[in-house]
Amino acid sequence: MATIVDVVVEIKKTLITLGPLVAVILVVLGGITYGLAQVQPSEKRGQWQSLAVGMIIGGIIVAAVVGAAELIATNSANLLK
Amino acid sequence: MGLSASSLSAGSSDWLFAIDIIVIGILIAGITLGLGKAFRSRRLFAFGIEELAQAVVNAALLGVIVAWVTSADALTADWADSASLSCPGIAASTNQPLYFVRCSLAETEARMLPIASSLSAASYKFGWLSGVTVSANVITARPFSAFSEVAATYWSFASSISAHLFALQVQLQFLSMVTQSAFSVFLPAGLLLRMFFATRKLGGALMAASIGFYVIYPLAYSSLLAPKALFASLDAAGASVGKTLLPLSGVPIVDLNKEGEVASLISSLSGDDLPSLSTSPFEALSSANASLALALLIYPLACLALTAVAIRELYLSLSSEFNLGLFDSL
Repeated sequence: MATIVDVVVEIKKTLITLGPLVAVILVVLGGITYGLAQVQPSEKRGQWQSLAVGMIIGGIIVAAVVGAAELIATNSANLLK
Repeated sequence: MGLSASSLSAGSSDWLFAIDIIVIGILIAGITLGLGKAFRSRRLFAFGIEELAQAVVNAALLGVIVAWVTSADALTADWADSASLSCPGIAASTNQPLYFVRCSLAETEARMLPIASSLSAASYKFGWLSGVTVSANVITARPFSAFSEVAATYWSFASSISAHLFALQVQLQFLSMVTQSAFSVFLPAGLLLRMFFATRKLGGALMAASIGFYVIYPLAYSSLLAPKALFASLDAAGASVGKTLLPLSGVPIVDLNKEGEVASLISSLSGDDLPSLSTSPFEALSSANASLALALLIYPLACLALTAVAIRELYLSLSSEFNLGLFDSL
């Protein structure tokens, strides 16, 4: 039977796997949206472009935070020492 | 990694478990933050920021708790000298005050048990003596009838020691649970629950309770406990009762039908100053009882009150929101 420790480790592994996938999906979706923005009429292009940029930035944020999660945790533990 | 006795030193299994939980919080926060930014959801973005901040604070708190435990060890080095205690049946712990308290209690129990047994024997022997009736023709006498009061007094001392043993066992078992679960179950559970808005107060309460009972209660208790004085008082009481029981080794008489057995007993006991000998341990017993009442009832209650105040204050801090005002800024 899995212990609570195993469950926590499995959840962490799942999230570490999921994070980069979400990041890549967002960046790719952002790229596609940016491409589609170019074929939109000029009054709508801005909206599409800002949505695309938001997606790309969102993807970068996910990648950065997920990639540095362990580092943030261990360094934060020394913040108030 | 097992959930054995807690040890929150950096790099220990409990530490890694707690860090894993904080990493999960950061991962969830990161994903939520990115999705919030991508789909322009202010709620999701604000949730991500709040969770990230809470996870960072959780990690910082974890570091502070480890520092507290280390400081508590250094702080108690002067008075909590566990090396001088035999610690029967107590596994070594990295939390020095908690280990000292558990060792002191275990050794106190080891010294109380023979005294309780001697007191029961004294009560029985004096009770038996007080019932001895001698009949000679028309005269019937009970030469030791006055000892019925002495027997009752010994019994009340034995009852009192039993009550103290109960209080001691309650504390030992509670502290054993704290040693095993405070930092390996309650603190990680608190860290996990504290990360989410809906369970933040519950998580804060769990964290505050685990800090209170693992750090503050043993620290306060170890500063009040004076095991050497307590042991001296118990040893004096035990020796005193043992000295009183010495002339009563022939009591009760097993073979009552043996001729002259009772007369011989009365004769042998008359040689000793039994009345003053029977009451001589009362002072030492009262002193031991007072020491036990202080160590096992009054000090723990005072420490519990102090711990409750500390837990309340910690809970108020740990369960609070940051209110970063992100809804306004976005």
